[in-house]
Amino acid sequence: MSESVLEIDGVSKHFAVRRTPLAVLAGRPQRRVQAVAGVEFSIGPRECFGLVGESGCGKSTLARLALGLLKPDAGSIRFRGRDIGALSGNSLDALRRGVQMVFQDPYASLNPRMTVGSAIAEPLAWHRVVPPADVKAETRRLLSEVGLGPETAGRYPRELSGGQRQRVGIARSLAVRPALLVADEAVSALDVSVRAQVLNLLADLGERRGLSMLFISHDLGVIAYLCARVGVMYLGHLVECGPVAEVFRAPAHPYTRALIGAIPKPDPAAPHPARPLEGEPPSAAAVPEGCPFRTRCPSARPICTTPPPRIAFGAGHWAACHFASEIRNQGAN
Amino acid sequence: MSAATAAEAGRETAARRKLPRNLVLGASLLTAWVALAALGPLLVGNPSTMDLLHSLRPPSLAFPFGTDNLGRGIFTRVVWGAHIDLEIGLFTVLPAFLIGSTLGLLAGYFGGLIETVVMRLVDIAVAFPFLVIVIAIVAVLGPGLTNMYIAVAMVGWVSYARIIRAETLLAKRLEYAEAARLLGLPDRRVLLRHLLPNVIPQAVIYASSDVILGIFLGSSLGFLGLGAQPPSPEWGLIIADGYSFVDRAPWISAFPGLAIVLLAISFSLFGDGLADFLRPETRR
Repeated sequence: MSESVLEIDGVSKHFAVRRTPLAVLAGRPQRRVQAVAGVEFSIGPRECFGLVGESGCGKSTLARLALGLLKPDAGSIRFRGRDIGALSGNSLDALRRGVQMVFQDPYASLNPRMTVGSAIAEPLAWHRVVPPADVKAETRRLLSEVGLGPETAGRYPRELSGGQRQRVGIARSLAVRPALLVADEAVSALDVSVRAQVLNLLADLGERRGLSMLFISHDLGVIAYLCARVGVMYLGHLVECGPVAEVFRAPAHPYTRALIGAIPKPDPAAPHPARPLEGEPPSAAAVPEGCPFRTRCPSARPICTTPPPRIAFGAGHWAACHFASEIRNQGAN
Repeated sequence: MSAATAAEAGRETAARRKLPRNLVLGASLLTAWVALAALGPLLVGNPSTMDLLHSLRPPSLAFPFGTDNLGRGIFTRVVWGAHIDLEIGLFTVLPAFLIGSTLGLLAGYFGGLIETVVMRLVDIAVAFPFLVIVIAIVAVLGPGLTNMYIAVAMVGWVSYARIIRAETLLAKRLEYAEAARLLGLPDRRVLLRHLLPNVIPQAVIYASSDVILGIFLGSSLGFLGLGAQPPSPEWGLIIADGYSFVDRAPWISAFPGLAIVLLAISFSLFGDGLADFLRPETRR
């Protein structure tokens, strides 16, 4: 693969749980929540990488790390070959502008007291992306690029629907001409019909502008539609990673298998998945030793208390499970 | 659904275009008060002219609100007082509003040392009863309106600092503020362009009722002899003047008292209407 746009290399992030004064006096140890543990993947130019997992699995923390809003405790994050952890001040800002975010909540992501036009024009003018005289024209161009008419520029966010707002948010992030878009649950808050439109828009933009994308979702179907590669996260760990077609055809991690099995099928005659997952994921403050998934895994055996090896199957497909090959041979259910 | 949200959005803008009735009424009354304060003194006579031949006269055509023990027309004095009491309202609120909002915004946005210092000062100020600490400061600085404004500003800013800090803490975590930072906009721009316009309405709404308290405070201090000094026709002072004659000439105290109540109602209507206008979501 040519040089990656984003490389996440063994990144970990912990958050300290605040102790009550009583706990400090009693000398109870500081508890730490493991949000991201040793995650590794890279996103190539023009590539859309999907990240899937339950809520609380560390997806959003990973997004904030990729955006440079958080610093990793261990590992490094490189954007176009430069470590964003090592930069600060102006050079970090400049680099960070290359990574932009599409937010989840289209109702909170736009300033309610700014018109759509000024929200998009602000970064254009501030960073002198275009000469001052061209700001208006560029704003209109960005609006039309996301499928909105020029009259939208004079509107306030409250006058727009959720889908329209999400388009405005996308236009605003495109204003600084990023190389990578991080979309954290970017379509989860939208209605199904609008969701498809916004997904198509993102796919279009990726192609037209040659954007790379980190697309985070709990919805495997959406990722299968948009992304070329997918990573599956569980309790801060990346448990499986590979080309979308491969992962769907032959999932090699029991968690991936369960996720795919849980996608509703529009065919009432289709067989039900053998065993849906039960219970909640364990607390991120008490991640099981060895394989993090073993407490809920239908195929767990005693060996699973030791850290699982990463087993590769070629084409960049791998899974972190002692029995990956076995599970992969069972195919998707 | 997208059509439904569009319709909903359309309805909301239509509702916003129509001003709340109490805002219109309050604003009209306040405009009348300001006009009275500005033009009234030109139309009525000197508020300090004594006419001992006509002292303690009840309301009549010649003296619409009656006269006091020195024969001064209460109507004339109340009209002049409008000017003073509106000024008291403005100057008790404006400095507190500006200082408090600025400190609250900085404390909420930056946190850390600024927040600790500002919020501990707030704690100290709220530990004392408001009126007691204001009277104590005026007693040290000496009576008079200017010293009263200084005293109120020293204590009054804390309410605005608390309101704005809380609003800022909330707003800075919203995605639009995060988006502004991600787009590489500097702190001062995020603060002034994105946070300030969204947090300040709360303080403005509070200020419109705080004005009433300021005017009450000015009148109370005037009554106690710590605010405006005689022969100023400040309403609180006129009420204090009439205090000894309340059994024989109740009109001396009654009319300035009525004026305070009417001015308070005007501000109150205006404040309620402003709240409805600036926070349309609370009307649904």
